[in-house]
Amino acid sequence: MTKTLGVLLIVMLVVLMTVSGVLLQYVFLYPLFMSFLWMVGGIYFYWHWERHGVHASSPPIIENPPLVSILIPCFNESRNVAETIAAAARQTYPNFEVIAIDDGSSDTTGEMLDQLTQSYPSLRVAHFRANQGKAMALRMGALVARGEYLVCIDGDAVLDPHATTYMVQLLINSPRVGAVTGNPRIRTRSTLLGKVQVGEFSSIIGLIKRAQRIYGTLHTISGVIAAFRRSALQRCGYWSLDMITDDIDVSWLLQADHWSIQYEPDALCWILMPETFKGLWKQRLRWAQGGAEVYLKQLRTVWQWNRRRMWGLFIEYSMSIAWCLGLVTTVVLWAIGKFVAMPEGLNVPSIQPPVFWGLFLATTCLIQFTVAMVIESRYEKQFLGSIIWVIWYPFFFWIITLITSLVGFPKALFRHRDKRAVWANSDRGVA
Amino acid sequence: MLPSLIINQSSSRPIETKRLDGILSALMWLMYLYMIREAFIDLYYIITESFEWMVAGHKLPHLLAISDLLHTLGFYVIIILANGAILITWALYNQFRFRGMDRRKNPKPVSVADLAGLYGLPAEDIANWQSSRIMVMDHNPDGTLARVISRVGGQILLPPPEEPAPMEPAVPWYGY
Repeated sequence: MTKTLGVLLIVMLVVLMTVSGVLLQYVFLYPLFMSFLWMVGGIYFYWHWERHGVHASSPPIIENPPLVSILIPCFNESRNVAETIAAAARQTYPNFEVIAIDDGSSDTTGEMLDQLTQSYPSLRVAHFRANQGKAMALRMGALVARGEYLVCIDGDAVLDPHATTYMVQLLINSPRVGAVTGNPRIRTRSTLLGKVQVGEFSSIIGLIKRAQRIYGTLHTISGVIAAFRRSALQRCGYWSLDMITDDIDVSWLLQADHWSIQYEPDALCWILMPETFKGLWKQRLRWAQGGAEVYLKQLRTVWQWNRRRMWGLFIEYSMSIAWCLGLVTTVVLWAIGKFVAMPEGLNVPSIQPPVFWGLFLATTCLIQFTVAMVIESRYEKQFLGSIIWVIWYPFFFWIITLITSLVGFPKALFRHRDKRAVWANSDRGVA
Repeated sequence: MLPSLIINQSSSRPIETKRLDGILSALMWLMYLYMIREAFIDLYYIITESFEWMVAGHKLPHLLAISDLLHTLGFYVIIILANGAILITWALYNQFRFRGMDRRKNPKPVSVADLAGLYGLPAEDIANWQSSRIMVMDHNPDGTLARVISRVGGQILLPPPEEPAPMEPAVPWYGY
């Protein structure tokens, strides 16, 4: 019933726009206006929060630091786990434990973790006999953790030495903050796809997080690097086992329970990303499907008055899906019009936008990249050169986002929620 | 930043692939430059006509011809500015309203008893696991904990399950 309502809502929006003749304008104007909104929000965040900050070389000093538990779910990570544990154990935060959760790995990850306990006194290990999925690994990590603050990273991520300090100080300073999301930086830069994603993570993901922080609610934390207040998770029931993207789900759960989620760009975490088209497709499809699952799950309760701060996020997501559907509808109406005489309101004479539309959109996109990269250059000096490759973004990545949204939404709609999400081997670059 | 963390294996990729990346990217930039060519031509006319208008009082035919486009762009600029103003006003309102006040008290840290209540497990067992360095966990098909073995001491902290069934194949997780 809820799912049907969600679909109807978006379809009605698209039908309304089609009939009133504004569909084509919406398809063009929505990304344009949102892009400028991200830029305004990103610049304001920088001006208000970042410009006076002294970057990572001098992290804040926390008096009487409480115990922090760093949770690292691992599945077949024998190639990366030693580096990940070493980086986690090198944190400059003075009071922490590292808990690696071996999620039923079939390679030597388990043995390696046991051996690593000899080298790192702060390391504890929980082995699962069978693969249970990331959400279960995090839940069990939280169960055996001793700290009130949990820092969660992936089994192939390399944490910056000061990352824990930066994130935990935000949790300590405000009792309203339930989670803090860090700043993932891409390590894999061998192929064109890898290089484009370097720009994408800063200009799209980083800038949107900044702007959403200014608005007050975040669509999602970065699952690869986030810190949580355990009492907030306890109220929300921790990570859901049946959601394909635990990070999006837990973000919405926390915010629906009136916890604030902060973005800490100084909390750097170096991550591996897919560098093949197949790997990228799987990843983006999971993101799209996960977003849709959370949207459909929250649909019934989000309209309650005490959740009004979530409305902006909800409307933004609905409009994004309507944009994807609107673009496809435009193409379909144009194609039908080639064979059948269409009534006035449904006639799309051409799908080629006027020259200035394309120019305006592409230029806006490049301005957005430039703004984001200038802001992000505080954290990584050399990467301004990535702008050469971002010319691909407006064409290639928008199409991937469009198609994955169109495929992911029905998948979320018809997926049986009683099935748990478990790990699959993933593409982590060509190296 | 630690430069050694960047993985760039470009040098081990075939030279043809690298060239193709470069050529295709250059073509994309050329396509973009072609799109802005028209805009630059219009801009050139507007500047020269404006100059002639200032010096000799000539008319501005080109500027008049693209006035519709300029009106549209002006309308977009107004909407963009309005959106930005709304966002910043909202941010300032929140900063002003909640300045210096934290209505929420510091929450009580989660205790072992709290965890025991939520997970439905004995508090004593959870306390034991929290003090273990290496442990092995068995789960039932429904996701509940079947037993936990502390590998160092070999102590079984929960009774073994009757017959753990294999987990149902589920939706794969492509985690990054």
